[in-house]
Amino acid sequence: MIIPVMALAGSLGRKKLVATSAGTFPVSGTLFVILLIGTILLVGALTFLPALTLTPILEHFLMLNGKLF
Amino acid sequence: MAAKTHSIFDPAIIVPAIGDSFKKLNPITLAKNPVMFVTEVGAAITTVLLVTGHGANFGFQFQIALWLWFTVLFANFAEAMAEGRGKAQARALRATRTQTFANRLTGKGTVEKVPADQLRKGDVVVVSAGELIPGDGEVIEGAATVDESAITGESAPVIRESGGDRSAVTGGTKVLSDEIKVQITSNPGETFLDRMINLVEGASRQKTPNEIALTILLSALTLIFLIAMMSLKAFGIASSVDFTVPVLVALLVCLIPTTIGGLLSAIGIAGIDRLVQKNVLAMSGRAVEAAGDVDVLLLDKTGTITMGNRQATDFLPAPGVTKQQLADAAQLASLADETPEGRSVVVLAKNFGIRARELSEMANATFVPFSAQTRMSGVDMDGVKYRKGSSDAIRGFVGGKMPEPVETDVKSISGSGGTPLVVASNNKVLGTIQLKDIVKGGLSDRFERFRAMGIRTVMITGDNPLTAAAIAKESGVDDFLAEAKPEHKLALIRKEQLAGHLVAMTGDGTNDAPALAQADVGVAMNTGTQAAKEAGNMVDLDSNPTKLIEVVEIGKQLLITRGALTTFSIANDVAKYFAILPAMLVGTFKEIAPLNIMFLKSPGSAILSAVIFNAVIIIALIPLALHGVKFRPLGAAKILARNLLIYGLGGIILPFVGIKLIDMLITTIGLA
Repeated sequence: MIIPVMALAGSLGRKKLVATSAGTFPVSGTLFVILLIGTILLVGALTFLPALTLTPILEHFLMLNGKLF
Repeated sequence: MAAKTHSIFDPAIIVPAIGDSFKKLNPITLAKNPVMFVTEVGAAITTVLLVTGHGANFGFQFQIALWLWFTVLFANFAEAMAEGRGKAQARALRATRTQTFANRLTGKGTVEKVPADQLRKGDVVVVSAGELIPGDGEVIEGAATVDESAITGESAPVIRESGGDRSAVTGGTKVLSDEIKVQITSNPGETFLDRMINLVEGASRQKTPNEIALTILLSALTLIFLIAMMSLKAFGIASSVDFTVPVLVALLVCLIPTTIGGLLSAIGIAGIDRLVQKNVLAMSGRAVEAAGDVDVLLLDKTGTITMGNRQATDFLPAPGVTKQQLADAAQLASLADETPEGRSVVVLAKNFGIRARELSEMANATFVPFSAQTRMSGVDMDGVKYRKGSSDAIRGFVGGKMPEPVETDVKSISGSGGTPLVVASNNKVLGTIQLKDIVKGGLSDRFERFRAMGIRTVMITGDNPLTAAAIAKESGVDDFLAEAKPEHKLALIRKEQLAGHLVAMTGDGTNDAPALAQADVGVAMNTGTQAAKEAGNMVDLDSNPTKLIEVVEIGKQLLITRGALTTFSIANDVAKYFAILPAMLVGTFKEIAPLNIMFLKSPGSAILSAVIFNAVIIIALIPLALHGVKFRPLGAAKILARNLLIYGLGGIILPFVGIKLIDMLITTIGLA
């Protein structure tokens, strides 16, 4: 799993630098932080929810009804 | 006429697009779009299972299969619509190329009449007043007024003449007066219009870098969801829940970003389309994307910022020289000068009683033509070297020093924004010719808009620094480069690019060609030379140097639209999960029912509603994809925040409403 990510980093490292201007998106602002956290949560949730509904979430509902798996 | 906007609901475009949607079902072509390919495979699998009678639930399975096919068809329809509109625009432009006849000059000197599409590169044709120019070419002899409204929509006639920067003519335009000899510069099918039409028609369309990057992202997401699906099946077996294949396929198709996957190519084509509406022909999709990120714009002065035909307005003689003598020498030095400036000097000299000499009368004279390197022109006659040129070129010619009054004249002319040309014979400076430049109207407002977008404007000219400063101030550019030779332009572009800037350049002369090629975005004026148009990656039919504003806006808009729809597509998945997952599990585990927060009627209707929503949202977003998200000239962070709110949050909330409505609809109709 780490190999594709390293490949991605390598490819990005080779790209040329573009000067900052009025059109640049700042990577040190609150918007960026929110965007980053939001994206991680969203994509993570979408990936794992199917499996999660079948186990922990389901178990939670069963527990509320006094049943076990 | 100039291309006009086509309404989206034009039946002439919609009907063939429907036919095309079916043609695009071909898996080999669809494989270019991984997301829709997976959807098509899913639809095929479901259909096969339906036909071989697996599973009892025929009605339900049939509808799932049907809507999966619809999803693929809707995506194809979006692409076909974009292509259809592009073709319609191109057809409107191409219609100007009516079947004309040309008067081709044969080698023997006679004229033969041939159909315009039999003309080949290098043929010379004669076009007289009232005739249509049969193909793209350069004027090699003569001057005429031409009506270019067929291409540009501008009805005021323009002058096209040999020599100088306005020698290019376009096929389909009409000669209004006089007669010109035109050398055809392209074979039929290779004109700029044809090249752009090929770009829009999709057959030879390549993916731009941004599209490739986005497709990789979407493929990665598709792969992730596919793996999640398969693991779900495995979990199901472990928990003894039976997940049927149609249901799993339905879940997969709902999760993968079909909205953006289906609309991606339509957005790209629509971007090029919108450029055509602004009368700009883009030679590559890459150029459009690069335009969105440009932050430095290089502009030629003559012909771009100024009217391009500086007129000689006065002769200012040196002490001890009469105006007559100066006018005489000035005219001699300008006779062989084919530039408009040279011609205007000859014209002005007539006012001083010097009749225009014919070139043929001057058998014992050697003409020295103007060159961008020496920045002088003139004639050697009867042992006397007459020269005219810029003040520092002539200063060098006469040995390093010019009389004080002449220097004063030069300074005062430059300071007022004119161009001084100094005339000398052998080592004697005879005086100065005053040429006046006219700055095109409305430019300072346009440059202000560039500044608001964060683009720096730089004017490049061969003039001396004083003249350049005056013109720069009058037109409102941020910076200027004076006394620039062609290689200086290239060097400046390279310097900016090394500093990490993306450079755009507008130009029209052959000497602009290397710079146009080096720039990240090279916009050639339609009135420019063939070499300039070949070197650049866009052609502006209106020959408006500030057209780049629109190009930049469209480039940015393209990328913003892609981002907005990607966000929307992924945000939609949240609601779809809440629809499908409870539906899948409630059969075995009733307890999970509270997860059904939309209170959908039944598992079957829930899954079906999600699939239907997934398909219908593609059609609903076609107008947005084709028109593009509205671009507001704000900073990047503000635009992003705004669009995240609208498409991100909106993308999360909208499907809840949508799926619920569809669910209510199909249960009332009784389809599930």
